[in-house]
Amino acid sequence: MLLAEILQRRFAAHPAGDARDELPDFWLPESQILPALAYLRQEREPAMRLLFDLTAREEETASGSQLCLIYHLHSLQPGDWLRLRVSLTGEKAPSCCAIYPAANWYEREIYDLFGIVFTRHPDLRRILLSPDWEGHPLRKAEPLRATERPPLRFERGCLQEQLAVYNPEDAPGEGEMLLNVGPHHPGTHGILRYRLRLRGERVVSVDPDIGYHHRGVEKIAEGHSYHNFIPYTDRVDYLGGVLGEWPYLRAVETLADIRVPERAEGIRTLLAEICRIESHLVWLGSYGNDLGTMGPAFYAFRDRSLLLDLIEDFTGGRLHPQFFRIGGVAEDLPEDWQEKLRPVLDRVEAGLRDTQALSIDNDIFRARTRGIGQVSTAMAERWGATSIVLRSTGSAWDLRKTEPYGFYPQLQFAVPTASDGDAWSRTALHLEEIHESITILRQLLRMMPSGPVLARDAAEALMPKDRTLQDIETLIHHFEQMAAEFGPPAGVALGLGESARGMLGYFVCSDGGPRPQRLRVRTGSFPHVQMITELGQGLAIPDFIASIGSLDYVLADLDR
Amino acid sequence: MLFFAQIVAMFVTLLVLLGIAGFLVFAERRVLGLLQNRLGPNRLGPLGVGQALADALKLLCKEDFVPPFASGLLYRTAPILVAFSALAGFAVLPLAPGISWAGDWEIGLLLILALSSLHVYGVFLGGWSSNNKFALYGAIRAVAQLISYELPMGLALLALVLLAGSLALQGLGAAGQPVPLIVYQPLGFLIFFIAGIAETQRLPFDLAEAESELVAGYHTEYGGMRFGYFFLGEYLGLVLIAALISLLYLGAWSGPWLPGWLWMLLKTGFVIGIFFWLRASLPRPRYDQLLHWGWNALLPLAILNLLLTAIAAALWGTL
Repeated sequence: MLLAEILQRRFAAHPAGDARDELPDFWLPESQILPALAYLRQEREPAMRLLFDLTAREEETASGSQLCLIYHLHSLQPGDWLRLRVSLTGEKAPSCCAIYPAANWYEREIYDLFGIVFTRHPDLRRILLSPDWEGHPLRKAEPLRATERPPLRFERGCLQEQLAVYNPEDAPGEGEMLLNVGPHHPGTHGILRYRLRLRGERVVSVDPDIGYHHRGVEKIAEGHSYHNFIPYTDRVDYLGGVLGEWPYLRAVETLADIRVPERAEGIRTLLAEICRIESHLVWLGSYGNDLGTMGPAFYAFRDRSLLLDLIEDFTGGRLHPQFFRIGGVAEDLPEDWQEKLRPVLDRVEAGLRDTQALSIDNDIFRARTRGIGQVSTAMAERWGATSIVLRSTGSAWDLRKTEPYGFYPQLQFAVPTASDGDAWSRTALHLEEIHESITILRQLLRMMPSGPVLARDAAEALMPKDRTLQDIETLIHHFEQMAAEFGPPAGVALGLGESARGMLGYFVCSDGGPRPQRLRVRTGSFPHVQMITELGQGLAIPDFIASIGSLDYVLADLDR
Repeated sequence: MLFFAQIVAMFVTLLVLLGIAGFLVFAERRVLGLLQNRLGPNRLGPLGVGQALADALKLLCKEDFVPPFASGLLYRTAPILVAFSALAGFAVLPLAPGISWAGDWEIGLLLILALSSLHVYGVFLGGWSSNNKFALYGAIRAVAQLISYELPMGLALLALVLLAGSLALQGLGAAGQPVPLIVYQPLGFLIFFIAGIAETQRLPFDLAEAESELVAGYHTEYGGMRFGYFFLGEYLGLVLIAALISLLYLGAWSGPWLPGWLWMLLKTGFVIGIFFWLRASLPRPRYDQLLHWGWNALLPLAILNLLLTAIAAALWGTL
């Protein structure tokens, strides 16, 4: 039986009409969530092993506001995705933590931002906002701008009381010690607090306290036109550069049904791979620091700066190029781009030998990372881990290969995998992926298609500024776009991308207006950090630092 | 009068040593820069050498702060103990025959070993009295590490004493003439060298500090000049170990053309350079790996070395 039939017969689902991407999309009655999820996870062949994302949305209807939950499931087979949507009658929903452990944090996030209470959730607390926050900011009734809220003030006397919520009630047990690793700690790669319960130097349990970097990017999106939001996508994963822009634009382009010209796809691929190398290099350097060696950081950053210079030359930006546009890219590449790219690739490739000698080839580095932070395939799937973390467990799953987008179908490259799932494998994979990216870039040097770089005929694509002064139609259109007069047709779409941190997904809901009605960012770092609650158990402090570092998370990507 | 002059001279020695420690901090940053494809501090003065002064001045000007939760007396004593134990060791260190405060003192070597044990008291008390969990971990590690590496170090030195027949540093230095003792004691040299890095608690053996794990280890709660004392202790300890290595194994003041004391300084500088180099390129092992290595590899090797030396000495006589 087809999946659609089963869902409709057994679980009274009906297909959703407003999905504009190719994902099977069904509405489920509230009572059928758990049975349907249990079926999909346990009985269905192939099982939906990954809870890719779980989020909520509030829609204004004639009868008032309506909350719904949106589940994105994936079986790790090419193209086998499923979106389930559930309309809620109240503000309660059943928790699916027992079926998908990864749902734990997603449900906490929904509770935090939407106020939906999940029944039988093991640990329903706020996750991104501070425990004493009032309100649920992603609700439509909440003001869009911070300035519309009353100022946040602490009364002098009650500061202790306010801070008391940060003091855990779970006092350490007999012979145990509570240790705060963070929020200010050199090993956490940013502002993030791990509350460790220790027995001797062994970790008994980990409770990551996140949200210090939360900027509410999903709420911000609701106040911006589709074009205006592009710069924010660079900053979600601030090391990824254009890797963050791409999935967002894929979602918007799916919504607006825009075909991106070949050359634009080629340029996007080119820039994405440069950013990938650059991001991997940052990680290789900073991971060395976690293990107490300073060397790799400087060698990796030496090569990275070559790439940053290149990106600056091509796009005008360094860390945040904000170069992609709806329907293409902002500019064509400079005429001599090949002459510029070629020597940089050679130097980066040669420089990798230094980084490699200082990291995976070093004996002490091996001793510190072999068998440390070991993730099994089952564990990676349980927590929704993707990208290098998943590939280090032997699963050759790379979106660029399994569901190729952009210019990737025309390119030859391998997906390096490892079988140990440990920190050493992940380091080796980072190095190998850089080599693969260099291969891709060398092919692009030869194969870059010619043609326009922006889909000029589509209504939602950005009008070229140089033509606005020549014909009135373009001028009006450009003006309307800039003044946020219109947007893509109503509907929802999921845009995916293989970023350096994991699978990045932008789920964009349009109501036909000039701004997204709801925009959801699913990042790779969030599930990876959630996985630490299991991964960290039983480790000694040095191994704990070596393990969390090896997951390659970025704080802004985690908290959004 | 002579007594007074000696006091002044000792004071000058002290100032020179403090200057050397300050200069080494700067030199290390420049050398690391050189080894790591960057510049290091190069702005203040020629080659940036003024940076050493600026750093010292900054530390001196910082607020004299004791955290309210620390136990005051021990917290204040610990850094002084560290600086003292590092400084006092130089009293018995000869630069050349006759250039030393107490180089021919019969128990010179023992004194240095004893002082280095005192050093760990400073580190431990500093970590303990800070009343901070990270500092406590650092302190515990420091003690564990020191115990496991002092044994092989002492055993390596014992073999040397057996050969040279003297505990006075001057006598040990003289035993290395004209053939440096590293020729007779290659294994002992390696053991002493490794244990020496562990003794100074520098990368790759800086587990007591381990900044990526323990923030700053035993001196997490220290700031200003109290932190400066720990810093001073570390760098003076580095000089002391390097000087000992060149004195005991590398032939001390022997060398052509140049005066003896200059050779001694050059050799010491060379060994310090190797320490810098190690720091630039090696990661930090985990503490249990380090202890395993100390007990399971270094200690048996040191005992073996001692046995072989004893047999050789019995067969062919000492130097």
